[in-house]
Amino acid sequence: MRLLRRAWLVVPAVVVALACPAGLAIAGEGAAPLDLDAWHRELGGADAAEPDGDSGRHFVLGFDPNCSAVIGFPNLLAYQANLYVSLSDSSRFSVFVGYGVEGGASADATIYTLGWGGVRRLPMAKPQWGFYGKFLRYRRFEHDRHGAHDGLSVGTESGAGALGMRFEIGAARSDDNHWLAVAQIAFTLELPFGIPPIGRDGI
Amino acid sequence: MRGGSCRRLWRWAAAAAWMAVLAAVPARPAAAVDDEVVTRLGHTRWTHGNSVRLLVYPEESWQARVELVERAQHHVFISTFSWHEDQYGELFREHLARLVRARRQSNPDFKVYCLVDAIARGTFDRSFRRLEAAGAVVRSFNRQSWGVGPIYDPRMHDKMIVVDGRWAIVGGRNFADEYFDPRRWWLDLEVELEGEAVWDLQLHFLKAWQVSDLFGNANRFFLSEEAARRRIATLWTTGRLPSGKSPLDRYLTAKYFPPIAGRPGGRPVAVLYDSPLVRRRAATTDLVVEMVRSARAEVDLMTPFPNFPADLTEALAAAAARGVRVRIFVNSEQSALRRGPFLWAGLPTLIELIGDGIEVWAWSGNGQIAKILAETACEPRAVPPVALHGKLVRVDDDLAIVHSSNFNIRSTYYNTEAGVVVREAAFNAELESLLDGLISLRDLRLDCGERIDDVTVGHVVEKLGPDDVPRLREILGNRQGWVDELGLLW
Repeated sequence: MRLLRRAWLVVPAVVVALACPAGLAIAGEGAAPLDLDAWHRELGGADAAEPDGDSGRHFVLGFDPNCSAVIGFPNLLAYQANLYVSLSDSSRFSVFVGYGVEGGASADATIYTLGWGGVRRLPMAKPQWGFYGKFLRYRRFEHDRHGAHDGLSVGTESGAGALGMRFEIGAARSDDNHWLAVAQIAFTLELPFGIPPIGRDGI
Repeated sequence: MRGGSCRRLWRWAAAAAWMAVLAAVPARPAAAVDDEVVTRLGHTRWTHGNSVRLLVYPEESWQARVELVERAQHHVFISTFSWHEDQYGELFREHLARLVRARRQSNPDFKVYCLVDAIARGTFDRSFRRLEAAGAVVRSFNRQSWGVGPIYDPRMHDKMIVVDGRWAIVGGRNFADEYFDPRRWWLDLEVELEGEAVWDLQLHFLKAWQVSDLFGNANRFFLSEEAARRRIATLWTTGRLPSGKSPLDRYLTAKYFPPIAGRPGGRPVAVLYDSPLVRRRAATTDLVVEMVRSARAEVDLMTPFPNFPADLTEALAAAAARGVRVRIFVNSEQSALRRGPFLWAGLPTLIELIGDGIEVWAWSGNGQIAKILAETACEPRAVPPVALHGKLVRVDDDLAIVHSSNFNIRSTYYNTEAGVVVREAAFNAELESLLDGLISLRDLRLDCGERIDDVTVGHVVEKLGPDDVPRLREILGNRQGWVDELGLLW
């Protein structure tokens, strides 16, 4: 009987003995390094991989006809009209190609665009389409005084709904080694749309 | 005698058991959003034993952040949307600069990291130079030079201060006079935290800090937007880059995440963080929608910008239809933080909510109080807020959220946001009494001291009803179409 009573006394001692090292570990010295992976599993990392999951993938064939008022070289003030066609899976990739024309006081051009980006769905009160891309461009300039030039440029274009902006920089060279600078900021009116159309939830 | 003692003992036991049963039964029915739903929808985890102190008033909030950074021995992390060049913005910058200089004398490893949204920082860039010269590192979140980021790219709207991985303040306040000047303050809400929740908050800050440095303009130009977002999302959800390496490794030490001694408080807290670079839609909004859908007795929601996503508006209407008391607290047109489209954008939602029988309480303190103070030379000891900027949701006597999110379109899809959800009746009741207090100011009298008689201000808050709808429609005019179409801006 006495032995049994002593056994009951042993139980709290064992609990304390087990708890103390854990307490010391929590209290500081010798704390185990944080387990980043376990922490993220606890934060829901496993079910949060939306960008890789199929739920985030929606193929969109996009079209973006647009026209711009262009400020910058070589024309100082010019107009530009482009049609972009894009393909995106909304998750891993998006590419677009474009064809356009530019007209101004000293040089007209035909524009071929190859870029990464494209037409995207933008959730808003009334979900709508937008456009975002970065691009390389080849231009065939016809200059009033120096004839044909071949031009290369890089740029970015971004729009939400009907309004957008484009930045571009590059250069063009003629056969007789005449150079034109291409440095432009453009304000664009756009009409982006995609297939399939936007659902009620913006997707 | 012995039998009497026994009976008394039984009576005491029965009474104690009855009290225990009463204590266990909630006064009002509990909400149905259980812990698992919060973690699943909020992409978060519950932390326990936190100390949570609600900060409402400008003086206490200012004092709390000054004292908080004073405690710092190893690091101070700050993220904010805006940091103005006004009195309080400058005061805090100078305070931080002094702190860095002082701490660095004894500890060269002392760090102050400030992450400011690129647009807001660009506006006040010069003002950070002294802070940087003192040794703080200031970064811009999501630079978009020359269109390398889309014009609809996220803005950093979360606001937090984390000190030594032990203490934090998170909520709706930026650094500017309107948040701290007691004479013309916006009512805002934030919580001061101590406990394990601070670790989660700090982890989010460190990720945002890494993301701000992950893409220079050249990198960002050559990466497709999908690839860029995939890298960021992978880092955020796993703590690692797609290569498997983690830029967070160097922070995973006891200096940044010191072991938490005991339980500083008793409150269960889950940290909520939203980034459109990680998920297209804010987890916080999903959680709020679910909380409203599951509410059984009461829903209170405060926001300065009530142009909610459609599912939140529908959930609020459905809650009211099944008999839940739903109260929305917003600014009236006189107290609107921003006018023009920022005001107009919320009106269609308010008109719809009023039509659905929801109590919409509009705060209109600004114009009236300022005018009366000027006319009467009254200098009351306490001036009511000139506008509402706080963001909160409370449901029944259970879950409550204090956040930087406005729960609107912009916060749901285009901003980073941070806050906490707390499951505790006492915290919930604290918020409820704050809101009840606002409503009680319908018949406001200002105590102007002994020299001047009290001034009756009258209605600084009013419940909007069907009679107000024509007026709201008139303010909105025929602008709803283009306000909706450019909705990402507000």
